[in-house]
Amino acid sequence: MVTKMFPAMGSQVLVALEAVGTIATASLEGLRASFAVWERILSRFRPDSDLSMLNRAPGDWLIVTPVLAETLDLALRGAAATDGLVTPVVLEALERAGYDRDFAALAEGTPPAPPSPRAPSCEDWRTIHVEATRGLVVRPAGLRLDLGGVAKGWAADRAVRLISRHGPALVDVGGDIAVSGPRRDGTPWVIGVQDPRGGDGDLEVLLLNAGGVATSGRDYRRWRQGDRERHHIIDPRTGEPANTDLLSVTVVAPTAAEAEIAAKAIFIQGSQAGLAWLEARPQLAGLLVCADGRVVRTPNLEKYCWRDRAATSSAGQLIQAKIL
Amino acid sequence: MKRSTPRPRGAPAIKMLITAASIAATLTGWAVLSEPLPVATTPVAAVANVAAPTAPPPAWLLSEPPIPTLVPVAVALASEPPIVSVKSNAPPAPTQPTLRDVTALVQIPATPPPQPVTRTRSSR
Repeated sequence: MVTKMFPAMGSQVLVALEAVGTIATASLEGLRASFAVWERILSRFRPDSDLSMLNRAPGDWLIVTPVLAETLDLALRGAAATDGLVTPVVLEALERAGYDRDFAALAEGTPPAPPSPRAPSCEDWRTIHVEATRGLVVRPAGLRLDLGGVAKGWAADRAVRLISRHGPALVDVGGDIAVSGPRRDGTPWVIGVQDPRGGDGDLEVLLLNAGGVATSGRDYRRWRQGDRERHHIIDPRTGEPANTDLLSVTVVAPTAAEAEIAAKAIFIQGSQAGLAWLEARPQLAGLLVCADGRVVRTPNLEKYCWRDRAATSSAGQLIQAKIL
Repeated sequence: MKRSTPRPRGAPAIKMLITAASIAATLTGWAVLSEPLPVATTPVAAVANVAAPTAPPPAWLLSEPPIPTLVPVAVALASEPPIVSVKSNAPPAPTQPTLRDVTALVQIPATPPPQPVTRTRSSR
């Protein structure tokens, strides 16, 4: 297996490919170049990106690159699936909360912009229309978009499809992970779930043969704005960072993009409503870490979890001995 | 003068000799067996005047042996009391010792989880 790590899309990317030889190595380099192209198209932090140019454009039908059209279409489908909880129309709210630059710059201590005195609000995502196959987009003039809620998952799915023509592959984009299928020997990919509460051990060890897994939370991308602690997951109902009792949410789904969207939707809703929302969707399985330290798992997550088989078999064959 | 029959010589002569001897022995035996058997010298006659026993058999022979537990079946059944529960005075059987319920847990060392290829976490 060959692996490659590189920075992209404001995160660390890991590509694991079960193939050897010069073709495998070349394909990994090619994939790195693809990430660079996608970042130039989708980043809101680059003034010359396709997304930034769209945000500055008037409210007419526009021809955009296929990657932008496809990603925007995915964002709108995610908004529809989550009743608007995860939408692409949160850019203004993000900037108002202080997330107006690349997080690396924010983490270095550069103070964010003070909160806007304007009443927070999020535009209606249904005013945006996309014809992905033709690369056409229309939205109200002045409506600015952010694709941070879907871009990493989309990129992981797209990358694993590209690279898996050379062999079984896994692509991790900042924690949003897609796998192409079982490994070459037929075994699943082993993926740890990092404990957001700290510590060295994994919260869970997952075994994935297909699909994706993603985690959303406020344990990392957070900062202070004045005397308030802020994080990057906006609740469009309030226009503010979500006020939730959850620390992080991990979701297993048929694709990494679905997992990413679902994880954010659950996080925004909180533990009770989020768990109910998750359990109503049997194609998803999840793990919620509450701010008070509780960990809640959906029953169907069990089939993805590694368990100590030796301990399981010894429990199943428990011997009861009566001793005089 | 010529002999009428030549005298046998060698094996044929021996055979003739053995045959003649056998015939003579046979005839002699017949003669002996034909003689009447001698009459026994001691005549057999019935024994008379045998004295009959006059003393009676000893008493111990006439009376039943002194075994008091042996009772004729008919008498025993007639005299058997009705069946009633009998309280045994024997000491009670010792109680079963208390069983210590011990669940023997097979101590199998925990298997460490496999090493993950990567970890999912909130955006890094």
